[in-house]
Amino acid sequence: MLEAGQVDEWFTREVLPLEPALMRFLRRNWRNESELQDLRQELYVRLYESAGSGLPAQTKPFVFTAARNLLINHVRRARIVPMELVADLDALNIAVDMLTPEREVTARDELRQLQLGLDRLPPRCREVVVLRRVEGLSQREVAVRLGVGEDTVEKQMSFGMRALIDFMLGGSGKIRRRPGALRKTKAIDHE
Amino acid sequence: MNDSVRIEESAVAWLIRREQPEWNEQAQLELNAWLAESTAHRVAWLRMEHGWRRVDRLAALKSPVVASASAAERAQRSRLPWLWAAAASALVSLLAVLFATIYAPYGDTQRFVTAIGGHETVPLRDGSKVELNTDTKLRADVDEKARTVWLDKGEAYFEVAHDGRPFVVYAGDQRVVVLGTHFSVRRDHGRLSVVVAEGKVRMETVHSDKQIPPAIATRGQMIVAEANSMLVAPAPPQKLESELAWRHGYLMFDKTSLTEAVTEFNRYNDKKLGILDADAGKMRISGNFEATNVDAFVRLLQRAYGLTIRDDGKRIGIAD
Repeated sequence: MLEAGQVDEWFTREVLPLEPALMRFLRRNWRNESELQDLRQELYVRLYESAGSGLPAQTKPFVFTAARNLLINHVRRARIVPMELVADLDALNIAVDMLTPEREVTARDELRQLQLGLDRLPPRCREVVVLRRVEGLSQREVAVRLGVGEDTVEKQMSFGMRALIDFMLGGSGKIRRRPGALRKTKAIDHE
Repeated sequence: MNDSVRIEESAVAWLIRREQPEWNEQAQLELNAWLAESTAHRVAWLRMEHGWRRVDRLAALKSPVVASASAAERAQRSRLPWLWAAAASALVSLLAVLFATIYAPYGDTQRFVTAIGGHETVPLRDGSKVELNTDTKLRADVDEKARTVWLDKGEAYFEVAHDGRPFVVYAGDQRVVVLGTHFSVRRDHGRLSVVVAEGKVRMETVHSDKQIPPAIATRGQMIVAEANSMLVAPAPPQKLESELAWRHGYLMFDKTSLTEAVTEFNRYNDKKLGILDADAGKMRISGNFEATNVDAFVRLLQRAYGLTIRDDGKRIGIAD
């Protein structure tokens, strides 16, 4: 067995950078967009757990094969599979995504990406993120400046962080909120 | 299975909480317990932490791009107050600097000095603690509105008491704004380095014709400012330990060149070491040494590395 730290390191250094390609693969082969996050989560759990008994020699094929198997299992487990859900199991081709080399991303590209991510946030949420992270104000200071409660700042911050992280890791930056959270934050956005 | 959203929210809540000044050992234990509950928790945490580090690193470098990318577009959406808020806060801090610079000398300023080889921990009036390293000079001013420290020379480690007032350290042209709690500032010649052990700090240039964006370092990072540049670099646990070893009276070297090692020792001792030939200076050494025990260090160089030592009572020369 490996130590937790080693698996953590491997996961952060080798698996997470594959996320954009991985999500492209999942999105192309799984029509139900709202389930993608759960699929990713389930896949990450499996990868992490199987790496515990030994790290794979090559991470990329390991990740994509596991992703393919996961989709196949999901289709088999489902009682009723809509015709269009999986185009064709045999056509679940991982080669396309696996062979796409990771594009070299420059710091400038990344900054542009961050700017885009920030622009996509709802205005209130962006304001909170910028005040907290760029201006370096504390939660309390942000709350005072915007005239809202600290719990509101925390909620906006939490949403903003999730959306930005998702966007920076190659996702759409659209984050699902739980129904309760959604209603509350919506009200704040439109006040 | 719809858990993934909830888990992600929890992971982010932990991230946010970890950056609050109240974060302590107890909280860390709680986080560890949460992580140990399930692999799902752990992978979500790793993902969020990884993503957030990237966002943060960029935010630290941001100003020119993020703040100015689409001025026109922003003007249209001028209901958005954040750019104005940013400008206003810049003005406020500029005024604060002027104010502090003009009035500080007349205030009730605390002054602290350590001699070469000295090492002292002193309390500030707000309850913060400052640990001064060798050959260090520092002033501190605490009033109702602000806490200001001037590091005139040397190196110090700060444990900032949490209260509403801003805590700012000035060192030459740089200013370090404390957003967190534990960090050290070292000033030598044209270079200023800040190592963050806990929380977060922001470094800004005080007066300069050039617009240099501020840099933010969080726990496990360091900022090095030299001439007109600032660099944020990772300070992994080992590096952190060696950078802060002086707090326990030690110098830690890891394949450090003898020239650098000698420079370090000379900060702590009146009896200076000198390198007599270039080859000896390039030699790499590793190990932990008591900062004020030059003799032990020299004996080791002689016995283990076979170097020639010339001690004339005032200076110690080292040759190959």
